Amino acid sequence: MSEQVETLVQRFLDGELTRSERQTLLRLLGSRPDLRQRLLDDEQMLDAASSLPRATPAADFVAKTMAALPEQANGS
Amino acid sequence: MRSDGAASDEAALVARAQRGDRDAFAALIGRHASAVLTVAWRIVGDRALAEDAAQETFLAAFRGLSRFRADARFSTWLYRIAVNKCHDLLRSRAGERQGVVDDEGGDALAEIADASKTPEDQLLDRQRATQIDDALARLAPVYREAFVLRHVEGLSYEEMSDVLGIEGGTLRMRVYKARQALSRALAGLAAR
Repeated sequence: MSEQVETLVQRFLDGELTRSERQTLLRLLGSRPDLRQRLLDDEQMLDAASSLPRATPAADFVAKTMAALPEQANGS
Repeated sequence: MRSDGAASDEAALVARAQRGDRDAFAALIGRHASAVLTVAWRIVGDRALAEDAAQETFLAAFRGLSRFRADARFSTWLYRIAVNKCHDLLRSRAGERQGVVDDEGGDALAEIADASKTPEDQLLDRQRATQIDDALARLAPVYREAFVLRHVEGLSYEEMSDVLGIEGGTLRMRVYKARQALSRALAGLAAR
């Protein structure tokens, strides 16, 4: 994949494409099944990453952390 | 992104905490605990260690409250402390087995199952989550933390630069390499 196309892909994944870059990418997708598959793979990967579960702190996390604090913050 | 109202509410909490109001600091912990814990979990790859890192983060934040500047975002400042705590933990564990997805993490992956999806789709979601979790754990820490901040936490490159103290071009390259590695790891599953 050329450097120019790779740059377009990365800018697409970062949501930074200009209108003309988007049109260029759309044209390329029409004639490049390998590029379509690549973008599909990348988008599925990013969807999976953004769907990873959030960590929920233990119910007593705030209380335990507060209990561990010194009496005063430095400089306060 | 927080609304202006939420941001000013947070600024008020920070100001109160800086004046020694412990209830205000407890409220700040409550607001940010999940985000700090999630980032730490994804970076160190171990839920119990992440809990330690998260608690250390808030302790360090409390001690350093007087150094926090009101023109910065409190969440960005916390992320910076959390990432540094994770670096400390990873360094202290150098030579040990790192980045392994623990059992608790595996259970938590089941949480993403969506009841509106078919059992087959839910299974595929779980497989993708497991694969990306495993692939994330295999990435070198610098690529893992860049990817987590960008695509799990949704930070901009500018915010990431503030958190990590690294210029944007380097961060873009790290995210690019992480995407490549993770995409390769998932491509096989997508083709099934």
